[in-house]
Amino acid sequence: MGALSYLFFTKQKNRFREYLRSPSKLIFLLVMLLMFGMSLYTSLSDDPSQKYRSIDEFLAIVFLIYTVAFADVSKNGFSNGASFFSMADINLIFVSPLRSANALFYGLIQQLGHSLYMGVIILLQYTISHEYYGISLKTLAFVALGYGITVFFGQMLSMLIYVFTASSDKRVRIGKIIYYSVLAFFVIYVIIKGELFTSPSLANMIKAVESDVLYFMPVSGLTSFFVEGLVKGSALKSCVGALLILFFTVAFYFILSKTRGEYYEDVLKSTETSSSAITSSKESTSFDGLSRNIKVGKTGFTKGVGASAISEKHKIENRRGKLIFLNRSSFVTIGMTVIYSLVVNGDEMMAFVLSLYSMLIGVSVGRWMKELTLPYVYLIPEKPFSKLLHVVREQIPVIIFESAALFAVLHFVLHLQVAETLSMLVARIGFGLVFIGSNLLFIKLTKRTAKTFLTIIAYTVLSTVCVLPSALCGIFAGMMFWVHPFTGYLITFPINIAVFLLLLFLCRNILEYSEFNNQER
Amino acid sequence: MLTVKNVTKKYDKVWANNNISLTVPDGEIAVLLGPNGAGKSTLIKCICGLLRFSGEISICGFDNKSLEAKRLLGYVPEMPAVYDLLTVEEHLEFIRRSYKIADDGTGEKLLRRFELYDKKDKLGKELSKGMQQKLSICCALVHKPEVIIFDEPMVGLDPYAIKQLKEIFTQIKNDGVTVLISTHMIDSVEDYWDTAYIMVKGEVKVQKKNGEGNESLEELFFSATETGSDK
Repeated sequence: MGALSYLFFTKQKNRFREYLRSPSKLIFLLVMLLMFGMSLYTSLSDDPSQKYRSIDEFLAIVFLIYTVAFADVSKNGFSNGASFFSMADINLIFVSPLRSANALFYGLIQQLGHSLYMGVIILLQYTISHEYYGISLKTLAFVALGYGITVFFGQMLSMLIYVFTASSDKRVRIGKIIYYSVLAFFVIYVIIKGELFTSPSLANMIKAVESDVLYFMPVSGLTSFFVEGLVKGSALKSCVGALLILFFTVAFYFILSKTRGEYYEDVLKSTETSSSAITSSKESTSFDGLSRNIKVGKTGFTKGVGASAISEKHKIENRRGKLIFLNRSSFVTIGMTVIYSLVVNGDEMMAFVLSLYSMLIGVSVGRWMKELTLPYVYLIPEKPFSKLLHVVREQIPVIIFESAALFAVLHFVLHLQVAETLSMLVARIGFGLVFIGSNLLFIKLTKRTAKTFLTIIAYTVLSTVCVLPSALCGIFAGMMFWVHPFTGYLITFPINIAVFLLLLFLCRNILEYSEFNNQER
Repeated sequence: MLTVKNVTKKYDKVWANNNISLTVPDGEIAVLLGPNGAGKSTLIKCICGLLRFSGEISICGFDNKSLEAKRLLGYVPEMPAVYDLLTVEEHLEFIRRSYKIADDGTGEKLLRRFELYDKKDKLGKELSKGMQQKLSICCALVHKPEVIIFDEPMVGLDPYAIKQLKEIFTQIKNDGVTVLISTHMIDSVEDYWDTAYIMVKGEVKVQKKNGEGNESLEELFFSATETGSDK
């Protein structure tokens, strides 16, 4: 067996053994299988007379998901790139007498495996897909395959962009103009074709997305074409799609290995960046994944003395990181909630709950949480509660702006009344504050952040307990005052504020000792 | 033998290496010194074939990017990075396969020397930073290279491993191996260097053979970096 085959297969063998050895990974696997099994079981008890929504609507949503995933991954090429390799690959493979083309092939195979693994997330949406669209498991497996391929192409394009633009700012500018022009062309096309400004409707949007022109949308159009062929049983479409995918993969391989034979330098920097991101994530140290060109702008602190210096520091960091109102997870939250709102057929309560779920995760991975792992927060000679308030302060505007942006969109998507939109917005802010408090309580109780599968489950349970009083009151009030359904949302706010203040009080001394910090490191 | 001729490396507008030339003959230990940002790591990455550059680098007469040159080169990186999902023993097996060599027992000897033998079945991710550094050194030596580049090799090592590494430096030097060590820890190389190159702002400011003059390596370093004295 050759060196790279040995490396690849030994890693897979050890990965499998690791799963069997690690209780948390095993539990995660079992829970996933259980969830999947339950999805399958519930789908067996189908009512044959049940009417499903249009398959074209489902394919339009699939196209949307592919496009967002592709754009999200590929645009990294303008900042940090997306390397297929690890630092171990660079230190051990790149300096060894193995051909660079073979190393590239190894990287591609490895990346394809990762991307297809990400497609598994799609399979977990089986219940909802089956419930609303009558999608079979086989069809969803095709969609998952398409998602994996899309992400894989996104990574390839990201690497290509990085390789050809990283050496000069001028190339980055030209690359960005081309990239965003192509993207804008298709977005404008959908807006015009779907008459989204004159008569916005889901049906019009689906009509626009169904257009053949969108098959030319880089990669997501191609993979949608391929998946549509598989879903609708069109052998010609799926074969042409598969051949085109193969063609582009081979083309990428040749572009990189022939025209940029010495691609090692190109991937070195992006690998170093990814490696520091992974290390930082493991060690819980601050890493913001910022672009390589940061405008420093005005320097120095103009305000902030004592504990308030912490929030002043956040302001400066957010300004330089261009994270003034919304962060990356906010956009993901908004996108996912809107898509789900469409899938669940405009059920506002369901959409609201989903928006809370994504916020639950978003709050726990916010930058304010990483702040708590850094030693200086504990060393500042100020009262722990005062420092805590200033650390927490960073997350509050994110929750407010994210909720405002989300409900500005949902107002139109769900055709809500203004009062309803405002009450849901206020309610979501209240829940967000409780999630901040539940994070603090989780840290106080467990001395760690929710990062592994088991801790995430524990954090979710704890947060659910914390929001239970307001949720129950909200449901009760909603039922009592049914003539004004938004009363249920509104009533949760004061209760959540009270819970938030209680949680803050309970965790007031959390920044006195850095036990949490020591545990994490 | 390692030969670097007029090597220049520019990142956008920054000259990381500017027209650098140096030669390390067989059986000699050269040390590369310099403050942070002097361009030492860039030069090492150029030598190891990881970066594009203008100029020439040859390893035992072969162009450094050729497979022949790579077969003769060993590299210990500044930050140890090993495979999370490969055991210690499997790392060495992977290197043997990459270099197409048979297991002649060198790997086991190295593991015993660096007290890693009892951990041969441990995964890379289960090792501490220091152990990863030891494994990194074993990987660079197992194929018996003729030119070895060490980038800050002592960082993270315990005193016993430092002692072992110093003995290895002497041993491989006696075997005729060419060694280039980049380090900030001047006193750690004071006893066995043959030639010192002191880099400042991407250029070699001072080149000195051991035994020339009365200045210690440390004095030389500070005089070069603080006053910017010329070659």
